[in-house]
Amino acid sequence: MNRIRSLILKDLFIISKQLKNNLVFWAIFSALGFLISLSIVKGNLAVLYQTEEALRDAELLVVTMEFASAAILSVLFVHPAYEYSPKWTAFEFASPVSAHEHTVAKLLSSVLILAVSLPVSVIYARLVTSLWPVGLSISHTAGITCIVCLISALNTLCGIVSEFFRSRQAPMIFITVVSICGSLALISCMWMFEEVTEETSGIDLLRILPLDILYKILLPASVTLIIAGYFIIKKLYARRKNKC
Amino acid sequence: MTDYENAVEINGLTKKYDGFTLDNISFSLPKGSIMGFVGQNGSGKTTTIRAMLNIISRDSGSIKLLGLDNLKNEIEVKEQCAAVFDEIPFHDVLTANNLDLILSGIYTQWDRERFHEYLERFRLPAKKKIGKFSKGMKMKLQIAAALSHDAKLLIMDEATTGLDPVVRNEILDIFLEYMADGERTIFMSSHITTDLEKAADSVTFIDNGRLLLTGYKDDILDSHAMLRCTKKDLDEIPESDYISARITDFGADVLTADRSAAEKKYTGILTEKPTLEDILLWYVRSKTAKRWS
Repeated sequence: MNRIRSLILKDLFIISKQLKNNLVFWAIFSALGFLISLSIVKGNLAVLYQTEEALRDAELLVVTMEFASAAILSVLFVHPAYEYSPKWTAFEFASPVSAHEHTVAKLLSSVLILAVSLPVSVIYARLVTSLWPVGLSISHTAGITCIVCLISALNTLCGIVSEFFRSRQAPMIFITVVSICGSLALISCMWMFEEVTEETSGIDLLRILPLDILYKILLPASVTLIIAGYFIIKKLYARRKNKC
Repeated sequence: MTDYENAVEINGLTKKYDGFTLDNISFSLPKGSIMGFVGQNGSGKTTTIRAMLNIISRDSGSIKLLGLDNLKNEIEVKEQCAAVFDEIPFHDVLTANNLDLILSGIYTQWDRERFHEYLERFRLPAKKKIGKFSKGMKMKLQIAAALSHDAKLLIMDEATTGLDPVVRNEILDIFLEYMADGERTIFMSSHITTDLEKAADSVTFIDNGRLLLTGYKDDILDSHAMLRCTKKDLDEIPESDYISARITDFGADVLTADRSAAEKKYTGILTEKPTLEDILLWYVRSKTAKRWS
């Protein structure tokens, strides 16, 4: 247990220090990406927000812009995420730590990072959606929250992916493609939710989601992901170790 | 920990890569001594060390460290071993203080007080990022970490390469101090043979994945001889009597593995004691040509 705690501590030390070192760079560029997307959306909405037909077009435009935001953000996030991700080094392979302890530690530090980044993402999304033009439905808030959460989750996976591909370019392409596809899937879901929640404006994503969905889908999905994650990380560890 | 005579025992170690094979390596290192593991770049030194630490899997052979199988008793072995690499394996953004916290949870025998004593002795700042350390400081930090968990076996991979002579000497002194109780063992790979001549008790030469020579340093140095002769003299020496010969403008330098026989047989030829570097070079060149220039 001490060893697992030490390995998690090491990962957290590295991530927090890298984040602190690059905070200004990261903040400026991610904010810039969002502002560009927002101004495009707002400008186009002002023109199109006249008729019902135009409104439908505007919604389509919003979806497009959400994709664009997701793509820009994912690229912007990937660079620091790659830099922040603590790599396995010769020191770890030479230390008296078993593959099981390594895997559990890496999995737990990923969960910890996610646990911190999730509320931060929600706050970030709420802040951004407060800037949206009046009249946009709740699905967009939810959509953006999901995108940001998804990107945060992918950032955490980025380190592991980069370990797998052992290159900088591969995870960037991978994460960008996955975030765009993920965003598409999530926004489609949110569109379906909109039918149900049209009149419940002002409610955020967590309140939209019925509890039974949480228990029946998210919980088993999370457990499955964690178990799968354990085996994937363990396999990656063995593979990386042999190439060290 | 079991009682053991040899701190390192390697038998038939083989590891195949595309274009390189570590071929059937066997040697042993007695407890309480220092072994120099010598070979040119790409000869298989690092592969051997990585197999010892189970960082890479081996194709065949067995490795015992401190009397224990390095696979079956991996955690126990690694608790008692310390590895020092040519490149610092700690992350650049960490500080020595961070390392202290991390390593105290990893090694059960970690001595925080001793670690800080070493930091002070090596004049290493505890709060400065490792990335900002000089090469010598990084090496000293690795050594401080290695010596702070009471390791019985210190495994070093080109640890003194790239360091200036002052720092190298300082580090060699620390090793001798570390060895003082007779219970500790050092296995160090290097291609700087002068360091090994100063510190090592035994030497193992490796070339192109194959073991060339292994034994006590003094025995190796005493048994070999360098014959300084003319080209005409060289023609009279049978090839079976020497390892290889370097032809120069002035004559030939001939390395033989049997000093006493050579001294009796070739009385008119000047005989000198070779260095470890000479021995390595002459053996390596013998693989391609008996005579070279």
